[in-house]
Amino acid sequence: MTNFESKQEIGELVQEKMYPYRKGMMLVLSMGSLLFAYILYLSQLFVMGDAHIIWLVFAVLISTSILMVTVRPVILLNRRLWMNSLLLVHLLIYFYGLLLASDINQPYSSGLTIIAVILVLLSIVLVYRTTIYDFPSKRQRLIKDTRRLHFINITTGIFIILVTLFFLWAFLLFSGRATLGFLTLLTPISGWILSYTLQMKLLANQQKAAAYAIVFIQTAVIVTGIVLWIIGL
Amino acid sequence: MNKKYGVLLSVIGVATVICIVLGLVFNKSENEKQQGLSGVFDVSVEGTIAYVEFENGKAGIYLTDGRTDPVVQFPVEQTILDISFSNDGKTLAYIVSDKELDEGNGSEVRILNTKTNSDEQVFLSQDIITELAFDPKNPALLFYLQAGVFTNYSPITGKQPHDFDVYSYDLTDKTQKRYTDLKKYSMRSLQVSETDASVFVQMDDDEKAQSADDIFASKQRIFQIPLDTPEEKSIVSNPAGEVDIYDFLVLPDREELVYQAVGGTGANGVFEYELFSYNYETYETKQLTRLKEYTAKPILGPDGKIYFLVDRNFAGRQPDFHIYRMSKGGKDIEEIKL
Repeated sequence: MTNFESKQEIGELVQEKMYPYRKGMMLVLSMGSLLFAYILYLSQLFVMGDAHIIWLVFAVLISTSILMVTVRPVILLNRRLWMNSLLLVHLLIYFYGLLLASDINQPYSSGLTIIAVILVLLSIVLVYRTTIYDFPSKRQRLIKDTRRLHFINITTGIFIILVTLFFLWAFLLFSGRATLGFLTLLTPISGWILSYTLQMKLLANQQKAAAYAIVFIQTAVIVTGIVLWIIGL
Repeated sequence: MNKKYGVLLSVIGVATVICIVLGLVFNKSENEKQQGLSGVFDVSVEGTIAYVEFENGKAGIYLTDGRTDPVVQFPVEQTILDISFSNDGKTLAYIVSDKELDEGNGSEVRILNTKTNSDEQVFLSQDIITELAFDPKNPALLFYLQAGVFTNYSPITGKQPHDFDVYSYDLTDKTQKRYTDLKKYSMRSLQVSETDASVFVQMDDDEKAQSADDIFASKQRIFQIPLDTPEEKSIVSNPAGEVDIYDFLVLPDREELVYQAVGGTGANGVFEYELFSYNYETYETKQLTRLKEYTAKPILGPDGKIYFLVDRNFAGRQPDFHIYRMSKGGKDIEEIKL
C-alpha cells in the first residue's frame, strides 16, 4: 500500500511538471461548478419558484466526473478524446446554467451570471489546453502547425456552435415545432467537422500546404458569410 | 485513499438528493406565482375601493372598508378580468375566467353584494368577456365587451381575444342584447355615458383603412357609440391628434377627457405611459402625470379626484401595481396605501 501511495505521488509530481496548473484549473472548474450548481438551483427554486431538477442532476454528474478524473487519473486509450468530451458536455450544461442565472430576478442575477461566465470561459480554456498543449497527438510531427490549426479550428467550432444554437432558438420560437428543415441547421457543423478532420489527416501525412489551403477556404467561407449577412441587413 | 473519495461522493449524493426533495416540495406552478395587485380596481360612490389582488396566485376581491380578508377568492386556475361598482355602491359585478384563456372556456359574470357578502352567478358566456360596466342611468343594466373569437392572427403573437362588440345584460329580464356589429380587432376601456344612451370605447380608427400600410398608420382613438344608432359613432378624442390613445375617462358633462398616452421613453427603451387631459372647449391638451412609469386606468371618485393605476415594473416579469389619486388638474398626486 505504501508503495502504491508513493507511486501515485510520483505520478502526480510528473503530471504537474508536464502540465503546470492543469490539475489546479481542473479542480477549480469541477469544485466551482459543483458549488455553483447547488447555489443556482436553490436560487432558481426559492427566488423564482422553479425546480430545475434535470439540469441539477446533469450539472452534478458532469462536475463530479471531471473532479474524479482529476483527482484519480484513469488510464484510458484515448485520454484526450475523453477529456475533451467531458469538457464539451460541461460547456453545454453550464451554458444553459448561464441562461438560468441571467433569468433570475435582480439582485441575484448579476453575481450568478458572472460566476457562470467565468466557469464557461474556464471550460473553453481547458478545451484549448487539452487539445493543443497537454495531450498532443503522437501521430503529428509538425507540432507548431498542428497547434496553430487546432487553435483556429476550435475557435471556428465555438463560433459555429453558438450561431447554430442561436438559429435553433429563433426557429423554435417562431415555428414552435421541429421539422426536417431543422437538419439543414446542422450543415455548418458537419462541414466544420469534415474540414477539421481532413486538415489533421493531411498534417499527419506531412501535407502542410494542402492543410493550410483547407483552413484558408474554411475561414474564407465563414468571413464571406458574415459579410454577406451584414450587407443583407 | 478510496475511503476519502467514497466520503466525497456520498456528500455530493446526499446534497443532490436534498436539493431534489426541496425542489419537489417548493416548486411552484406558473399559476401559483402571481402576487400583489392585478391592476383591476374600481371606486364606489362611498369612496370604497374594490381591487383584485393575488395571494400566491389566488385572485380575490378586496375592499377598503376595514376588512383585510378577501371578500371572494378563486382557485389558482382562475382570475378576475374586470370589476364594476353599481351606482349606489352596494353591488359589485365582476368577470371570472380561466387564467389560460382558450377557445372553449368562456367567462362567468357574477354579482357580489358588498353589504351582505352574498355572491351569485349572473350568467355564463361561451365567449370571452373582457370588460363590464354598470349603466349609471339604469342600475339593472350591465354593459360588457365580448370577443367573438380567440385566435392568433399572426404566427409570432400568442392567441388573443378578437372580434369585439358591445353587449348588455338586463338583470331584471335576464336578457342579453348586442348593440354593435364591428368585429373589432381590439376594443377596450368601456365607459357608459351618464347622460345619454351611449357608450365610450377605445379602438383603432381603421374604418377607412384600405391596405396594410393604412392599418399601420391608423391611430387608437376614443369613440362614442350611440346605442340606438351604433353606426353613427363619433370620435371624442382629439380627432386630429397624432398620438395613440389607450385608456381614458370622460368626465361628466363632457367637461374634459382624461386619457393615457405615451409620454416618453425611459433609459432602457421602455415607453413611459402618462395621463393627459383634453379640454373640449379650449381644445387644449395638458400632461397631468410625470411619473415616468406605466400610468393607466383613470377612474373618477366621489371626492372629485381621479384614481389611477401605476405599474412600477412595466415590461418586467411581473407587474408591480399601485393605486394613486390626484385632483382634476393633475395636482396633489398621492399613492393610496391599501
